[in-house]
Amino acid sequence: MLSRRLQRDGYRVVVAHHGKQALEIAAAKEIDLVLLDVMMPVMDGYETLARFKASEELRHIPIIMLTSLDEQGSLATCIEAGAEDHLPKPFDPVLLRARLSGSLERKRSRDREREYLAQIVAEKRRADDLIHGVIPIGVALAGERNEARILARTLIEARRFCGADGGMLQLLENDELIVVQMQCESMQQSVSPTATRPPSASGGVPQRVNLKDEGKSRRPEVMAASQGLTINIDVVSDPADYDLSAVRAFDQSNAYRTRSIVFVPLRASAESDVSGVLQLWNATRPTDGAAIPFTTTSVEMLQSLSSLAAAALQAYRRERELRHRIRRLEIKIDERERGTEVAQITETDYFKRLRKQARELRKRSS
Amino acid sequence: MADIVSIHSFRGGTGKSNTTANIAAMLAASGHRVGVIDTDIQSPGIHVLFALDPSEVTYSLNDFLWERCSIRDAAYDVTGRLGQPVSGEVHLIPSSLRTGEITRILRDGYDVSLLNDGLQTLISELSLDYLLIDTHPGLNEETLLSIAISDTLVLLMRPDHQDYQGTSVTVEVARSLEVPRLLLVVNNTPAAFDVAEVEARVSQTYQCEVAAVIQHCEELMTLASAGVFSMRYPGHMLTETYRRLAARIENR
Repeated sequence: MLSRRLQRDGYRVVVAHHGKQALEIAAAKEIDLVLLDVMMPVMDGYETLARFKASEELRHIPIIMLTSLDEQGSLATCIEAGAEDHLPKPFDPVLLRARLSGSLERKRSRDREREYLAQIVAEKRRADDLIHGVIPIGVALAGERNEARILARTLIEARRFCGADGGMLQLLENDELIVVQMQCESMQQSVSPTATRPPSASGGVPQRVNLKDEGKSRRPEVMAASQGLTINIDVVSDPADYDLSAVRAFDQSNAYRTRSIVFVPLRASAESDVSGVLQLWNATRPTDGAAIPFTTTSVEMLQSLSSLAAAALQAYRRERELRHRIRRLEIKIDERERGTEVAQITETDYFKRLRKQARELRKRSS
Repeated sequence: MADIVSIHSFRGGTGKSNTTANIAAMLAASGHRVGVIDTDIQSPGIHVLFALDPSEVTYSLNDFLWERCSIRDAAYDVTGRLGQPVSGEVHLIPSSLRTGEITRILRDGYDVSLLNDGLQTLISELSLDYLLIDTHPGLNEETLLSIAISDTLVLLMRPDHQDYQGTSVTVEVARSLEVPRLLLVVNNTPAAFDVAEVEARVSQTYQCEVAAVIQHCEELMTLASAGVFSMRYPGHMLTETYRRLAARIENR
């Protein structure tokens, strides 16, 4: 009867016949409010209330106790146990509506508060990650005097940041993405390209990808490099938007399973050209190592780290070029100008006399 | 017969006086009798390196050029002021530091042939093995004369774009004067430069022997012409460079 009345008032109602069923339903569906009877088979209202309040996921659902006259004595206990309110039986329709709308309004306020708090916590975490994580890494990269170490360290720190099992750094040269670093913890592999050990030796990873190759335009690393996009993919869901053939080939060659992968362009600033792509795969939860997607926060941190790495690489290469140019000692002589100046001096009478005197002097002394 | 060696540069501030003083000291250390004449009448300075105070100078080159004295009168034995005992000798003919005298000689000029005669007399009277001429920078009648009468021209330059063009003109002029020996010295070279590459590049550009590439030296800058560097720091790397430069001048 109560159920019909609530439906007539416009509420969607789910009925549980005992407390255990109520808990199962609340865990599976999104429930805004529970009207809880005290006397129920299997699990009574008191225990059900206690279980709701003990659950991290369910404790925020407001519970209105439905009490009969002889249960009024335990009402205070229920309120202390976390019940939002109570409704005496038999139900007064006006009181029912008032208690329901009041509880739901309070729930909405609490939900909004929780959202704001979660945002604040996330922002603080982000700021902490930047201050204590990304920025010190950026400072360290800026101080590196070896290009290979800049690249290796960028990948190590990026992986550590989001617990990624593996990653790859590709640099862009003449419209080609070239693999310069690859690491994979679970495969116990760390590869830097050398003459004797090209990255392709690690199986299934093409060393070079041409951005102009039409057939590869939907590959995420190509899109990241050519359009400056950050691409975060849940590989398991097999999105149709991207060409993941290279990822599949890698998995097959190495008996690996890529679950999540993110592609971040290396770019010192929004105005700079993309200089490469940072790729990470299989993020893990720090507490238990479980595979998780790359979160929005970690992707934002990776973007910051990538721009610092790109800036460090750019600065290093600029300094190297400058030193190279300095060491080359470029001497430029304007031959024509020189000819003119020499003629102005040597074609004077004084000079001609001087030359003649000098010749005579040397002849005498020899 | 003495070797006349002019130490010249196209631009000022290249380190001619310091280089001249150190070459003189190294030649004297090898047992030679060395004369040093400061023909930079506009801005004389080499006397400072030899610790010759202007108050001690009775006659200068200016006086000789005005025929007030003989060239011998204007020569001062500075061997004892080098700071280290040497088996040879160094005699300095300074230019006047008195502003009025500098102005006068620049205004009135002088007979350059008199300078030439004076140098020959000096060589003879002091039995010199080497006469080093510390010239004024740039090409004018006096510097052309110094170059013309020299057996060796040591042309100083810095690895600086302001020096390159003028040095190339000076090299060509020196060749026109048929100077028997032309040596380039690249002075005050930054540490970032590879010495061998600098030598090769300069030699190739000017088609000329490079006698030394002298690297920038903080100790030389700090000494600030308060003495002759090679005598103050006999074990320094720069002193070794000066020693080798002097040896290149000796090896005809």
